[in-house]
Amino acid sequence: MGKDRQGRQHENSSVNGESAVVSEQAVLSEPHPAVFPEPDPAVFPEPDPAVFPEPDPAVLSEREYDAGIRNARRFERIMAAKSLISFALIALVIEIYLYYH
Amino acid sequence: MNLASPREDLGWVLVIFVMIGAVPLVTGIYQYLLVILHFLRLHYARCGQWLPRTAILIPAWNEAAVIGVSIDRLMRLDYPRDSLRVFVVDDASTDDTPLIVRAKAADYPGRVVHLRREAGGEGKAQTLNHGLSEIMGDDWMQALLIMDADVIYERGSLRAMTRHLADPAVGAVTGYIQEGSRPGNYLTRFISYEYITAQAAARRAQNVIGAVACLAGGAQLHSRANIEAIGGRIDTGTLAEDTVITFRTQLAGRRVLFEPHARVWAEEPGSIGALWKQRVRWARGNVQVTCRFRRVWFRPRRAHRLGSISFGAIWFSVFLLPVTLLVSSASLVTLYFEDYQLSHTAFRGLWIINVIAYVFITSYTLLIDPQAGRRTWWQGILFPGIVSLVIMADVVFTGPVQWLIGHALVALGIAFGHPIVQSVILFSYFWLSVSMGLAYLAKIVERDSGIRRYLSVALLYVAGYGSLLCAITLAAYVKEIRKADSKWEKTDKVGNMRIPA
Repeated sequence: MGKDRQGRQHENSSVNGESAVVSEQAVLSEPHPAVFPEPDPAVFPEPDPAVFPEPDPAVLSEREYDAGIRNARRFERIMAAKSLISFALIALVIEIYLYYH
Repeated sequence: MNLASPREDLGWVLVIFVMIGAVPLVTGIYQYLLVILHFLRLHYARCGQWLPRTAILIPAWNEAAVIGVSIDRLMRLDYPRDSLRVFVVDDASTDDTPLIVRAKAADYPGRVVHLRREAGGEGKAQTLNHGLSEIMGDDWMQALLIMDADVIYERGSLRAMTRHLADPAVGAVTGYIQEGSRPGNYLTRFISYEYITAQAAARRAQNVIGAVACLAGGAQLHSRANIEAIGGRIDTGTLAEDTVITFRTQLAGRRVLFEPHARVWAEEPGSIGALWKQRVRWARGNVQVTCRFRRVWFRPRRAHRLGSISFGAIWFSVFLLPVTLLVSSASLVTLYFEDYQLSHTAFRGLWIINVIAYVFITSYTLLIDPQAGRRTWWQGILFPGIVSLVIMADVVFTGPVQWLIGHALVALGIAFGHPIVQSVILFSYFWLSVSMGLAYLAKIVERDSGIRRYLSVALLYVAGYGSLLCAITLAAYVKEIRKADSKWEKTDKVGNMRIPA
C-alpha cells in the first residue's frame, strides 16, 4: 500500500492495466473527455516516415557493422587531427603576439 | 640574506590564492588535450555485433505529450524486433499517459508493457525500481536500457551501444545526449553548446582516463550481469541516481564507456527558471555523491580509475568552480589594497590563462560537433559573458581596448579621471564573483514575456552562461548545507523536438 500525491491509499502495482487494482484504475479506464482531451496533433505529431522509416533488415548485416566501426574510427582520427591543427594554430598566434609585445 | 617582509609574504600568498582561479581553466585545457588521444583508446577492437535481448525501462509521470511518439520511435530502431521490449513505469500519472501506453501495448503486443504505480511522486529511482523488479523477475532480459520518456534515439544508436557489451568487462555504456528542442531559443542553444563540451568532449576525455563520471539519465545501457552485481536496484538515497549507479558499476570492477556515435536527442529547458530547478537538482546530487564516495577520491586503485589524480582533478575543478572564483576574486581585491602593482600582475596572469583556455576550448568545441556548432557558435563565443570578453580583450589588446573604454565613458558624459579608472579596475577584480550574482539576477527578473524577459536575456549575455552554472552550483551547496527538502522535481517537457536532417 502507498499514498498518492493527494494522500490517498492504494494498492501499488498493475501490468498493462490488467491486474485487479481498483479505485483510480476504474476512473482511468473510462476517461472523461474534459479531463483527458485528445492529444493535440501539433504538440504530439506522428513520427515522420522519412526520418523514421521501417527498419531495413539489410542494415543489420556484418558488412554494415564493419563499416560502422570503420566510420567511427575514421571520425575519431579526423577529430584528433583537427584538434592538433587547432592547438598548433593557437600556439602560433600566441607566439606571434608575444614576439610583437 | 635577503628576507621578505611579512607584508611581501602576504602578497605572494594572495597571488597563490588568485591563481586558484586558474586551476579549473588549466584542468579544462588538460581535459581537451586528452580528447586528442581518444582515437588511441577506442574500445572497438573488443566490440562485437551482439544484439542482446534488451529491456527498455522508461519512468513516466504525466508524459502524455511525448510518450506515444517515443514508443513508436523505439519500435523503429535498427534492432531485431524480438529482442526489444519497452517497459513504461507510469508513476501515478494524472494525464493521458496510462491510456496512451495501454494503446501502444495493444498496438505492439508483447513488446510494450505498461506498469502502473498507484502511489507515485516518490522519485525517479523508486519508479525505476518498480520496473526493475518486474524485468528481473525472469531471465529474458540480457541488457537494460534506462531512458527518459522524451528522448529520441537515432535509429542505429542502440546497436552502437550494445556492441560494447560483447566485452564482458564492460558493465555499462552511455550515449551522446544532444539538445534537440526545436525551434528552441537562446537558452537551448547555450545548453546545446554546453552539451558539446560536457558530453562530446568531457566524456571522451573520461574514456581516455578510464573512468566515466556519469551515465546520462536518458541513455544508460547496462548488462544484466552489471545490474545483478550492484544488487538489482537503483539507489534511492540521493538526487543523482545515475551518477551513483555509474560509480557503483566501476567500483564493482566493470568498465563504463561513452559511445560518442550513439546520438540521443533530448528536450531541454527553455527558461532560466526551469533550467535552474533542473540543474540545482543535478548539482545537489553531485554534492551528495562527492560526500558519499569521499573514500574514493585521489586514491588510485587497480580495480578502477575513479581514484586517479586526473579524474579527481577534473571532478573537483567542476565541483569547486564557484569556490575557486570567489577565492580568486576576493584575493585580487585584497591584493589591490595591499600591493597594487602585484595585484595588476596577478590579474593579468589569471586572465591570460583565461584567454588561452577560452580560445582553445571554444575553437575545439566547435570542431568536435560541427553540426551543433553551426547552430550554437554565437552562444559559444558569448559563453563567458560580454564583460569577461571585454576583460580578455583588454588583457590581449590593452591599448586599443582602453582607448575605446575611455571614449565610451566620455561619450556617456563620465569624466575619465583617476577615480573612474580605479573603479573600473576594482570592478574587473570583483567580476568573477559579481558575474554569479548577475546571473542569479537574470533568473529573478525572468518572465515569460515583456520587458523583464528581455532584461533577463540581456543580463545572462552580460554575466555569461558559465556564470549561471556557477551560481546554480553555489545555490546547490547552500541547499545541501541547509539540508533543504530533497524532493525529486521533474523537468517539464512538451515534445517540441526534431532530429536535424
